[in-house]
Formats: sequence, structure tokens, C-alpha cells
Amino acid sequence: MSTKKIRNFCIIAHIDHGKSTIADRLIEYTGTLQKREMEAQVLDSMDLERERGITIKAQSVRILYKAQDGEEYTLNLIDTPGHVDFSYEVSRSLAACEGALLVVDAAQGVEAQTLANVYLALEHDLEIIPVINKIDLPSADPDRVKHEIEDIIGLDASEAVLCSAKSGIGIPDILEAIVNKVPAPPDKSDAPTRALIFDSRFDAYKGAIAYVRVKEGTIKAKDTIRMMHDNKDFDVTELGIFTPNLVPVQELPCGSVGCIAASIKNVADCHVGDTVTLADNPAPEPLPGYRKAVSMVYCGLYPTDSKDYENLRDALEKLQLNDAALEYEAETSLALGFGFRCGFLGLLHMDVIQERLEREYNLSLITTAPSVNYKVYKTNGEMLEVDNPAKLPPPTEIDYIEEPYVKATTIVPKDFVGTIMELSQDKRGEYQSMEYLDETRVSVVYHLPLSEIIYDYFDKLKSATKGYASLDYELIGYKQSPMVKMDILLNGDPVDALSIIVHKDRAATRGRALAEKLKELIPRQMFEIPIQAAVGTKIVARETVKAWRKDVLAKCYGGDISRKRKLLEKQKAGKKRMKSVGSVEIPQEAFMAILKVED
Amino acid sequence: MKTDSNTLNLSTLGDMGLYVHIPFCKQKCMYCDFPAYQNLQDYYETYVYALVQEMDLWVSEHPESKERSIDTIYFGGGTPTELSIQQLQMIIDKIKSIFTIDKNCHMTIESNPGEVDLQYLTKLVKLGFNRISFGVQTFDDKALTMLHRSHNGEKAKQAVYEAKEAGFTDINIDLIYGLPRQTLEDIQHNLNIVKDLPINHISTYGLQVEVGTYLYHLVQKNLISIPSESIDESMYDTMMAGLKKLGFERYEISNFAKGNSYSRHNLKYWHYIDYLGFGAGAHSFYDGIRRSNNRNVMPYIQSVDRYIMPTIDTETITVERAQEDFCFLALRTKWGLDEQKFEDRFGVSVHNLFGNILEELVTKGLLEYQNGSYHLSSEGAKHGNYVFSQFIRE
Repeated sequence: MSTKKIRNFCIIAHIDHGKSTIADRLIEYTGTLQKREMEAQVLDSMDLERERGITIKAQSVRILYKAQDGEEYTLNLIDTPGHVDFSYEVSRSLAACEGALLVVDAAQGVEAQTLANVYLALEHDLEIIPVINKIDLPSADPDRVKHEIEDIIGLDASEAVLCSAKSGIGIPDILEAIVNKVPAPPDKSDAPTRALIFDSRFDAYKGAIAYVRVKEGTIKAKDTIRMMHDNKDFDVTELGIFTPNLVPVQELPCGSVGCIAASIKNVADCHVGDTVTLADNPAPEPLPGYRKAVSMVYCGLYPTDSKDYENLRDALEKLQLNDAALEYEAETSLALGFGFRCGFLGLLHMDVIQERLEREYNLSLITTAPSVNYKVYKTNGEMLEVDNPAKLPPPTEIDYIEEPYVKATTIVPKDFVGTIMELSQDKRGEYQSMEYLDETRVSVVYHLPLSEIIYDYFDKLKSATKGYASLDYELIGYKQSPMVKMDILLNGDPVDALSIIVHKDRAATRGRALAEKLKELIPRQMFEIPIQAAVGTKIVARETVKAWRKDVLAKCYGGDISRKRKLLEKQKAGKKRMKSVGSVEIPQEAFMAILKVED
Repeated sequence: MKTDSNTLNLSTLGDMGLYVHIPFCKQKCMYCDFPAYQNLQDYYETYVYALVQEMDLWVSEHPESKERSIDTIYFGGGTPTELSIQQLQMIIDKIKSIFTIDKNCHMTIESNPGEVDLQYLTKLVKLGFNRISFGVQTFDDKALTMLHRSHNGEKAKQAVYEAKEAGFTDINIDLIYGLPRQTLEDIQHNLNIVKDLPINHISTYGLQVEVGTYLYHLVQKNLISIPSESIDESMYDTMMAGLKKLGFERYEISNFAKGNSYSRHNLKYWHYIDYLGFGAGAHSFYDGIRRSNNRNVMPYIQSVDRYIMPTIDTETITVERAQEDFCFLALRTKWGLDEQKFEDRFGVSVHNLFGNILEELVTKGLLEYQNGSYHLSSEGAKHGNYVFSQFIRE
């Protein structure tokens, strides 16, 4: 089979600009699924994705399309995650395509966040087809948007497709543009097999499943495959394509997109970005671009009920397969018992993983405050990497500490430049450069401590710029900073899971804010609970949760026992999400309190 | 005792209570979220007919209930004394003609001071009422005006004396603490007045600002301030100590009696005994099922008019729930949770089901164990909701 009639493409769009709706319409129009089988937004299949409207995991679907030239084409739509946290996954998805639809909202125009992915797509030499969506909105202005695409991105927008995915306008034009503009995959059927894993998933019966794009050669149902990053071999048990339901096939030819099941039991053997080759005729080199994702944010994840520890470990193992960027290792906390230290790409990633664990694996979790990875140079010359505040050695053993810095690029309308600078300065940022992208948009670059970004920089940025700013950041290295450990003592006892590492100049303010917040979050109990924030032996803040107040329902009107009972049930439910630490009951939210303080 | 796997048949247990709800008031109090409506005088007569009709409907569905002895009748509201003597007479005649009424029946009627005179009170006694409950709330005139109560402190005292003169054996007054602008001195003042009054029962509870009331609206808008938590707690402490000193025994969380003059009707609720309820918003507990009626007067009347029971909620109580309810209801009273009574009723030891919880609550000093039963300690009584909620299982 030749590759001439295959088109592999993805869709790049800003959140809300209609990516999922366009994907749905393409599937519907070509009859890939009957309309009644369509659930709105087929590709975002995880509950969480549908609720948040963001795409977390890449998915793909094969569309058969009979074009105006009379030929039938196989269009493989590869979905890409749409958030800055997931840029590695985006780059792997893009590497599996030859073309991309750039979807821009006809009313809102080009958004800064879209740019990062467009540039990533251009880096992968993809053919980009501009699509202007929502042209039937009263505020639509396709001509202005075309200019924006040309001015801001530098693409020729004269042949941009105008459509409204919601009303089904322009869908055939998109399909024709894909057939005519996206190049067919190069035909390298005769070369030794190389297939890129752009996604993976765990199935309880089939083991790890690799989602691949066959770049060179062919994979057949009876082949033995080899994972090139660790040279492990597996016998293929099943090959499949997505319609979008999985349909078994006998081979995945060059240029095609599909999945491989090969009884891969160990999730670590099926990494996104790795290259699949054949054991009996291996390719000499893997495909370029594989890298282990870099964790930037760490936190502790503990089961609320210690009986769930094993379940949590299984769930993490399965999620890691699905999400190569997740790292974890076992840790223990005096306060919380057995749990895991987990590494994430960013805060959203952390949120998503936590929610998926709770929802898909039905776990109740306690998450500790996120931390970054510090390099601690000890007086004895040793260097320790510390991502858990509880593990920081005593001050006497520390020579100095280095913290990770990022290059943060913010794109904002020019009126907000002052706001950005003020905020970045306040967050210990160092100004680097500023550049006008066009008459209205400015890109501002700062070097910032990563800890400040994960603390509340992003939220502050969003609110200070009314949501107009977009932020992208990359790790640039470590810098020496006077960091100290701040302990939180409840009822006189330090609670390790509440410790944080802070800049020494900010310890007092943050300690006060944290103590105040904890006072709000910790419910009154039978006795008074002092909350203290301490750096070493010095108490920097103190608050008190007063002993509980009178709480008894007296009046019972005309024997309405059911109403009384409902109130008691409500009270009881509130207690369920608490963790007893010593004699104090602490609600789950308290461990994340540091993220909720205002300062 | 007969039980099946899901429901509990409790119909053999003791004499029943009967409750009649009269949802009318001269003026609605600003803190009230009970089914009580003002300006409905035109409907009193129709409502009484509906009540009578509802009783007929009930016995046609539950003819066996006619044979169960009833030893407490409670007319609550609203303000039952909004009705004329003739109207009350009609309801009582109906009750007597349908049900089996014990000759020592404890019959209570609720009323407001200043709205009844000696002549009316005397006729109530003639109708068979032997207990009256006045919604006094406080003797402080400023507070009474603000709460939209129609009486003043002087009238409240007078009402009590007249009730005594009319022949009521048992007289209760309701007192609320934690009222807007109320001070500890006001509480002490109330206690001083109580000392000399011929009453043998007091119900007292802290003001609850319920969503949807006029008071809630005022508090939300900061137009009125209620005492702080710590003042409220001191008021509670003052009331508890003061009433004890005056010889009132706390036999239930919010009820105090002199010389065993308990509200026998309300004890049915805590002792897990059946009661029938008639009228808008009335509740009943019969044969292991809890029912509640439509709260609104018009739909209530319309439903009964069409020969349809005005029930809007029916809950069949499972054994598990019955066990939990039994515990937290029993703990509200001075008799507490009795091991033997629990086992007699459920055929299983309370320790098998709630052993850990009981032990923990005793360790925390919230419960005390004595002679085979558990009671709230004074700390436990203050935090009753916490204690009770422990008995609700997953």
C-alpha cells in the first residue's frame, strides 16, 4: 500500500476556539461515526477533559474521506494537548503529523497561547492550514483575523478556510484543504521499521498499548517489536486503528497511525517519544526527539485512608504509563503516613493527576503544598537534591542553597506591561527583555524563581491582566538564594507535611499569612489549638483556633426527626475528609493552604 | 417484637401521641421558619374542616390505628388559640369519636400571651386541655417589639397567672436566648421573673437564624446584630445554671421540668414511640414510617378536599437507620441510651453496633456511663450535634 492517499494532521487551537467541535464535525461529516453514536466532543473522552474543556491526553482517529477528485483518502487526525504544561506531549504528537489545522476564533482572533504551538508545528516542518471558525457569530471579523494571522504568525492567510463548526458550515472545505495541502507521508516502506510512540495507555487485559505513527517500514501482527530506548523485545499480540473505536488490523504500513498491544506488563517499557523497531531487522538509530520529561513541581500524595496505599501505588503506575511526564517515588511523612513524592510538569498537570486519581481510581487523597527541587550544598561538601521541605537538613549543616530559575515569557496587551513588571519584580524576578510583537502585543521576558511561579505568579498574572496574558516558562538553571525551612506547629508539634521552603526575607509575611489561613481552614475542636509558624526555633507567627463553640440543636418542631437527622448527616459528611494528626483533625485543604494565602 | 430484613414494625410499643398543627398566627415572628402564616383568618373555618377530613382519610387507610390508645394530644403551631373555642371543639370531638383516647391523656395547647383571656382559657380547660405552652420568648419589652411579638413582659406574666386560675395543671413557657441586642443582664432578669411564676416547665433554646426568615435577611444585610458566639455561650451557661438553681431539672436538651412535669407528648419523639400528625406541615411516625404533610395551607386544603392524603414525604425507616435514630434521640434525654432497652427493641447489643463510638465518646468526656445507660455529660450536652452525628454510620 502506497502512502499517497494518507494524510496525517493535527489541530492547533486556543482553548475555546473550537478544536473539539471541528474534530467532531469532520468525523460526523465523513460518516466515521453515525450521528447517533456521536457523543458531543468525541475526542475528549476523559470526564475531566470534557468538564474543563482542555485536552490532556492525545487521542487519534482515522477518517475515510472520498475527495472531490474521486479518490478515497485515509485522514488520521491526531489530537494534541492544549496547555503549556504538556509541551513535550504536544511535540510528540506534532512529530507524528505532516500538517496542522490552525483554528482561530473569528471574533477573538489570534491568542498568544496559540503561538507557542504554531511555532512548535513550524519547527516540525508541518504544513499549516489556517481555519477561521465561528464565522457566524455576530462579532465575527474574518478579515481582521486573516490580517492577524499574517502579521502575527507570518502565515499566508489568503486561502484560509472559513467555517462554523457549530453550524456545520465549511466542513467539506476543510477536508479538501487537508487532502490538497497536507503532504502525503514520505514512502519509506523498504527502510528498517521505525515507529514513533506519541501516546500510550494501559489496558487491564492487553497491558501497555503504544499509539504509534509508522515513519519507516511496516509492522505486522506477528512481528516481534523492540523498544529502542531500553532495547526490550515484545511479541505483538494485536494491531489496531481507531475509528475512533479500536478495530484490529493485520498490519500498520508505512505512513499509517495505529496502536500496538504486545503484553507489555511494565509501564516503564512503553514511553511516549520512544521508537519502536523490529527485533529481527532493527533500525540503527531511533527517531530524534526522545527525552525524559522534566518534572518541575513536586508534591506529596497521600491516601486519606492509609488502607488505600497499595491502590494509590497501582493507580500511579497505570497513570504514569498513560502520562510519561508523571514521576513518583515512595515517601513517608510523620503526619500523613505512607505516600508518594510525585513530580509534575506544572501546577495544572498536578491538579489533573490528582483529580484523575480521585475520579478514575476512586481514591481520596491529601496533597501537600507543591515544592520545587532545591540543590542543597552542605558544609561537608556534599550536595543534596531536596524536593520535600521535610527533608531539608538542619541549618547548621547547610553551606548554601540553590533554587531553580526559569525564563518566563509573558505575552500581554501593551497596557499591562507595567502590571507585569511590577508583579515580576515583586516575585524576585530579573528583567531580561521586552519586545513588541505588533502594535498592541508585547512579549516580556523575566528570569524568575520557579518556586514563585508555582506559588501564585500565574494566578496573579491572570487576574492582573484580566486573563489576557499568556505565560510560557522553561527551566534555565539554578541560582543561589537564601532559602530557609519554615515549620508549622499545631498544638506545639511540628507537622512535617505542612513545612515549606521560603526565601528568608519573606518567611515572616508568608508565615503570618499561612497561619491565618490555617486558622480559617482548621475547624474548632474540643480544645484550643495554637498554630505557630517557625523558622528554626524562632516563632514568626502565631494564631489560635479557639475551642469549639456550643453546637446543639434544641428546637424540634412537631416531631420533625428527619430534618434533625439531615443536619447531623451533613455535619458528619464534613468530618469525613479530615486527617487526624496527633490529637488535631486537619481537613485536606489545609495541606494546600499555602497556595490559598494572599500576601 | 417483629422485624423483617428492611423495615421495623414498632406498632406494638406503648401508647401513641397525636399532634395537630394550626398554621395561623396574628403576626409572624421574624425568626420563625415553621409553617405559620398571618392574615389567613378567612380560611380558619375551611382549615378546620380539612383537618377533620384528613383524620377520616387517615383511618380509612389505617383502620387499625383507631384501636391504638392515645395518651398525649398536642395542638401546636403557629398559634392554635387563633381558632375559636367552637373550632377547637370540633377538632377534639372528631379525635374523640375516631381514636381511643386514654383517660389520663396529657393535652397540650400552644398559645401566645396577650392573645387569650381568662374566659377563653377556662373554656380550653373545659375542652380537656390540661397543659398550656406560652411562647413568651423573653420578658424584655424592647426585644419583644423588635421580634414582632404582640405581647409585652407584663402581659406574659398575666397570661401565666390567668392560665393557672383557669385550671391548667401544667404550664410551660418558651424562652429564647441569643436574641438581637439581648444582654446577659436580660437573661438574668428573665430568670428572676421565672422564679416567682406558677409554671412547672420551661423550653429554652438559642435563637437560630434560619435561611429565608426576615431575621436572616436583616442579619445578612447587617441591619441587626445578634450576640457573638462567646456571649451566646455565656447566655447558655447562665440559663443552665439559673434554671437548675430554680429547681428545674433538665430532662431533655432544651426542656426543663419541676417535679416530673414532663411534656409527655414530646417524650414520644425522643423515646422512639409512634405519633400521628394532622394538619399542614405535620409529621407522623407510625409503623416504622415517617411521613410529612404539605407545609402550605392552600395545597393542604385542596388535597384533602379531593380525598387525597396531603403527605408529601414518606420514608420507610430501615433497621440500620432506626438503630441510629434510636441512639441519638435517646441521648437527648436524662434517661439516656439504655443498653437493655436498645437490646429489647433491636435484638442486638448496642455494644456490638456502636461499642467503639460509645467508648470514644466516654473517653472524650462527652458521655457518661451509669447503671446500664449512657448520658450526655454537661460538655456533651453543649456539643450534642457532634455526639449525635457519631451514631450516623456510612
